[in-house]
Amino acid sequence: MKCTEFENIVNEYIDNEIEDTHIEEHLKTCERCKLLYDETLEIKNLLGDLEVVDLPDDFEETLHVQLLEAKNDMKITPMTSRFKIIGSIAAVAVLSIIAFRAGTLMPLNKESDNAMMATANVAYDMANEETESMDMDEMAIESAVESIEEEAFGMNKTALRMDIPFNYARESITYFLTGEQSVVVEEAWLENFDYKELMYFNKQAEFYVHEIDFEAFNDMIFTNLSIENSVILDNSMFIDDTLNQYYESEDQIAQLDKTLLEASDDDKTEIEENIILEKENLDFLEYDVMNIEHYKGYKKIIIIWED
Amino acid sequence: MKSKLEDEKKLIKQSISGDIQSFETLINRYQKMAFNVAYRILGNEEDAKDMTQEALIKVFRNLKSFRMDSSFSTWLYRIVMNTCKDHLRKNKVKVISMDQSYDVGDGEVQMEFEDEGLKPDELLVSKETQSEVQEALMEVSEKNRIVVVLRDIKGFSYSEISDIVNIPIGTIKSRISRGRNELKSILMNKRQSVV
Repeated sequence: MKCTEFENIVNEYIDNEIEDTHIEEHLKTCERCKLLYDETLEIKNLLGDLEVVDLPDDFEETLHVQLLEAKNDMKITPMTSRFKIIGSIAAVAVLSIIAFRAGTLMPLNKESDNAMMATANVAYDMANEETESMDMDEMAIESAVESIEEEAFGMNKTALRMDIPFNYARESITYFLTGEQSVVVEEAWLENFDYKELMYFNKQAEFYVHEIDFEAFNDMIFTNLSIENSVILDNSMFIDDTLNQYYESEDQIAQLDKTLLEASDDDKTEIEENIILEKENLDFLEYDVMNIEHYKGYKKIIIIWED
Repeated sequence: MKSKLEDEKKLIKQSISGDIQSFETLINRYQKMAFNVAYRILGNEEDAKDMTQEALIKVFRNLKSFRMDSSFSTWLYRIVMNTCKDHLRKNKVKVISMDQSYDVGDGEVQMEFEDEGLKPDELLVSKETQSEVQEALMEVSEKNRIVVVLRDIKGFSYSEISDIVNIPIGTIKSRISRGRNELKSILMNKRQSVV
């Protein structure tokens, strides 16, 4: 083994990342490399000997408060009175569920066209379960919402194991219709509203309505259709997250470009590599950002009917 | 008898469902070291406390997206590191690091310190106070400091570090090497100026 070789691997060696009897042999005979070895080990030990500091006294206390706040942020918001309660049907429960990152979940059912429907169905089931025997007054609704919250927050495994295509609208409202009607959504009904992309799937219709028109649209839905239940899904956290990542990535590239100008040749390659990685990241986000822009101001509407 | 890993998975699932107590139990074994790592990277306890807490809240909020089949420790530290890096980025303190040149007004000056290869006993641990080492560590360039702290203070392997900071192992190796060399030069230089 040559001394220059040893110089290159001395750090790995003291970190036990490589083993080589040749190295041990070399160190036995080479004073210079032995010195380098000792010095490097010394530095490593200097750091290792730095004391482990205790957590500040109030660390756990203040963290606990922050955790409570965080949990509160993730809570469900109770429904507003604009959803009418029909007949003897159980209370309408509104769930605000944090959207799940696409790609981190496994596909539930390959046949289901829109996995969001499955989420809504699960939410619907849970809502029904909890609220069947409840009174209509606000207190009861709130406690119903609370118990749903425990379930929804944990979002049982079935719902979690779904490939939810990323919803680009900040909010989506799903209406569940009772079984009696044979007609669902007629295009004619939507004529007066700012809507787009009306699509029909198996037992469900989807489109986007501009938030300006939403209240009127909602009234129209309740007038013309028999609604069993409805669910609101709040996707804004995910959207804001994506947008922030995009801006940060842009910032980072600008910073890196700047650093590149001032960098030594040694560092240039690494910085250029990082710029490439960051630009890849940006490309990846660009698709989402474009879609977010496209649906800006619109609410996604899903109407589901039973047989 | 349940393994530690299974216990941890259970705590994670309970935390996902909103159980704060479970979450506090879950992070109990990680929080002190995470705080120390942040402290050695950021240089002061207050920032370390803020960033560690911020990171732990992010962990709590994003537990749903944690893949059960990967290492929780690595994932947690990834979040801690990203939080610290963000903080450093936003609060760029102009520290002259050994790795860079700086402008003194009439052209650039390269900081260079000759490695005189002092004998081992001239660099003895007992002569350095804790704060001297920490001060010197703060003069090491950020990206090198991060990996050296993860390696020599926390004890992560090269491959774990590569996972955490999302950088190839080759780069980790060179940063550790440079980081330690920087530290060595800084300490020797301080020693010389005292003498």
